Amino acid sequence: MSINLNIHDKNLTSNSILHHLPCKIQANEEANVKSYFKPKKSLEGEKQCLSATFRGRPLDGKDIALPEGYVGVIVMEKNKPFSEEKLRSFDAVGCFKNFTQWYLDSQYTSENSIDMVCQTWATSITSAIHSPIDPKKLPCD
Amino acid sequence: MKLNGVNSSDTWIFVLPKSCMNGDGDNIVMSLPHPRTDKNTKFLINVCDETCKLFELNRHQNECSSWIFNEQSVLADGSLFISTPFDPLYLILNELLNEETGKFVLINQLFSGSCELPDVGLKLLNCLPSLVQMENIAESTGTAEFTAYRFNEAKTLRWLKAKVERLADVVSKRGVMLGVDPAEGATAFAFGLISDYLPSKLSTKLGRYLGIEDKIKKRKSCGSQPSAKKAKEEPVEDYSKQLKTSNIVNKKSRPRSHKCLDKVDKRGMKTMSSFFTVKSKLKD
Repeated sequence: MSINLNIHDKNLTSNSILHHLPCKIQANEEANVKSYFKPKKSLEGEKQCLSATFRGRPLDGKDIALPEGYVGVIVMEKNKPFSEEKLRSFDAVGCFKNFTQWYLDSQYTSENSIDMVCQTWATSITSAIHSPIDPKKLPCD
Repeated sequence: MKLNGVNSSDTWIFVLPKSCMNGDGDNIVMSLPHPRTDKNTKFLINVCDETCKLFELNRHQNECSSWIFNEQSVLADGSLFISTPFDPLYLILNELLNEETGKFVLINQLFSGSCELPDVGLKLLNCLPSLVQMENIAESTGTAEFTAYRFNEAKTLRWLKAKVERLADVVSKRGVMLGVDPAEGATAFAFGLISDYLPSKLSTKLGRYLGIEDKIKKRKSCGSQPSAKKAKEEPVEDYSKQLKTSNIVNKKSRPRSHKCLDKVDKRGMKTMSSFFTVKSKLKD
């Protein structure tokens, strides 16, 4: 069973807003987020700070830009197949170039793992592991 | 369908190279045996006529995380799938190694039955920038249309060495090594990362070829710490131990009157500490 991702650019209209929260919300559904989750931007010196509260807990936010050359896509399976063997297909319903990572007060550090994935793994490490090497340029034994 | 009282999700968050979105090709997620584990693992392949691109799907997962998107939807699973380019040679190499030694095979004969996608072997060859890439891991025979390949260890090790060296360079420049001495560790660290894409037999050979196998073993042994379980068994504040060691250390510097006490006949006497131990132990 392979999965088709229909993610071509023309289908997409908007830049989606994403928040990655440091807690588990046991729900996969629509919610009135707009009225209850209100991030605030403030300036502390020259640094821009993001803050919000969720269920009474203070959260610090950080905008994480996706690495150069990458794009984020939200994909949704609109029609679920009835059998396991059937080809499944997911359609893009939104795209993004950055998202907000939220930390529960003290977790806020510059070297959070999701940062590392975006900045170091996707840009330099993975190309060193996977980009091709020309066999003609290798020294002979 | 409900799972843990939550509607199962039909939505996922992906990060992909822009080329997957802008081009005309189909983006297909398929399973192939991972070279390290031999377990079926999901890869993303972008198929556009004769040229394909292969990507690895890395799932960034945190137990305590969820997504909110577009100010109206909640997603319980906070996973982020990041797909980054993947060298198809690692996959082809693994399949060639599984073949009988000394036999030339057509790449399309490999992977048979291991993937639901038709002609996956050919598609992987199409992922290579050119067929010359195959010279990195194999010898070839046949015509331009039907080329058969055979695994070549010397070539493969030379290719992998170049990979390790290139990665070691990046790693030491970026300063991303975790808990490794940067002076000698970069190669070992890079070797570890590359090994994640190799069958264990080949990674052992590569370690020997690079001459770092011994170093790695040494580092492991000297860095060995008691396991968490072992550490827990011993009380944090064990005064009896301190007592014993201080006895030995102080033996020479003790006053003479104490030394005389050593000569006293202690048969039948209980030690002071015995009064404080658990009763059941005294019985036996």
